[in-house]
Amino acid sequence: MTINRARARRLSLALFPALLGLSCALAGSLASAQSPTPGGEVPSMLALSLSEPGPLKRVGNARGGGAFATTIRVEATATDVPSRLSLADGDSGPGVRRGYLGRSRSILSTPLEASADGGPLRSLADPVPAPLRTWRVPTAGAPARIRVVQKASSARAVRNRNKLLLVTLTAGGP
Amino acid sequence: MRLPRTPRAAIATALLAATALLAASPAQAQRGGLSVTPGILEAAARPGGFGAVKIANTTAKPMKVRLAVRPWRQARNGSVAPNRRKVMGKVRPNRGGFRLAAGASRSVGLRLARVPKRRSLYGAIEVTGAPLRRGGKGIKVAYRLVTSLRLFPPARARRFKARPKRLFVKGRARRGALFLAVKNAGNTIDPIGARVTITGRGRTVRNEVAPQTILPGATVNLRLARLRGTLSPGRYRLGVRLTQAGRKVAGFRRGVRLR
Repeated sequence: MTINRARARRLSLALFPALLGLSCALAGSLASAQSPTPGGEVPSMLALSLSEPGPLKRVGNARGGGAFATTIRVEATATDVPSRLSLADGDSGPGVRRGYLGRSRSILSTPLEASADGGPLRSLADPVPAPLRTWRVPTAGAPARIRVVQKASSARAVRNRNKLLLVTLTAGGP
Repeated sequence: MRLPRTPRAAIATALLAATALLAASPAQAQRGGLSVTPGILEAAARPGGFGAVKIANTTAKPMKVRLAVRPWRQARNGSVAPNRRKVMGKVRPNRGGFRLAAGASRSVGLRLARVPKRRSLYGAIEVTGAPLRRGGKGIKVAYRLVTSLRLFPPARARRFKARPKRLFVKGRARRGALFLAVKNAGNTIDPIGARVTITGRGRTVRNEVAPQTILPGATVNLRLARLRGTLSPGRYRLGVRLTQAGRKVAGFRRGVRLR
């Protein structure tokens, strides 16, 4: 009986992942059988990872001008629940108005707004920053996308202004 | 040697995926961030050192870190945020600000200088981390991690007390809600809940309000009932029993008019 060599090679290639998976499963079950009951202590912690936001880009029209937006990618880790993600104004000093994009004493007429993962837009001018996202279970590197939006008359109006935003992760409430 | 077409394509795809995975994983790990341990710091309210927080910079760049212990500010809807205009003078960290190198960590000890009159203290430990080279145009971001500080009163000094204040209706009987402003006059943060009975026009409606955390001295509007047209407009008698830590802390009866 002769077997086509190419067919045999194809067959072995098809069977290889299945054999690999089986051996991994066997190794895993052996390891779990040898080690004691899995588990351990997880230290209570809070961690945040951020991406650098890009420049504000025109995304649509708004009354009396356009809407400009940028995105911040966040990864949150929290062992205590509920954990809340919010955005606050980090600038301080004379001439700074909370939540407004500005340069020295010249500020825009509308405040910055933010939303996370397609949620509602919240003004950054509020005294108590509204949570953009809440996790009710412990998280490890949970991703979120914060969208910061500024309505302005022109691209030139937002180009030369700046703002420091504090991406805030709060654990467990008071 | 020529391999059949389909397995070769499969191998090429697998190799490409593996390369992409290998290339993506270090980038993600290198990004890192700022972390604080523990997430909630609890201790008894006694003068002296009561604990420490460990701050770690897992990014590839040095950071300017600031630590402040601030009181909470609670809005009427119950949401809380650290009051950035104030610091808690009674709680003193070893160091308020320092430079943290890439991949480094540091512990900051906390000390209670004086026990407050209430015998308890609840605040926020605010850790802010900003890259050293700040400034420039556009939007810049910095890290802020807010952990909770709970300094509990001794068991014998615990006081559970709630004070009902203004009762008001938002909206109408067809669509609205009934609210009661409640002040936590005790010294714990055990959530305050309520049992409500609304009687009138031949009907009695009962509701259990989910317990809500109210900071000592703060006032929060508890939603006693949602109005969805089940009660017709008119005058009703309202009985409220406020509970905290499984015990009754206040109760009252009042009349309310729904429109």
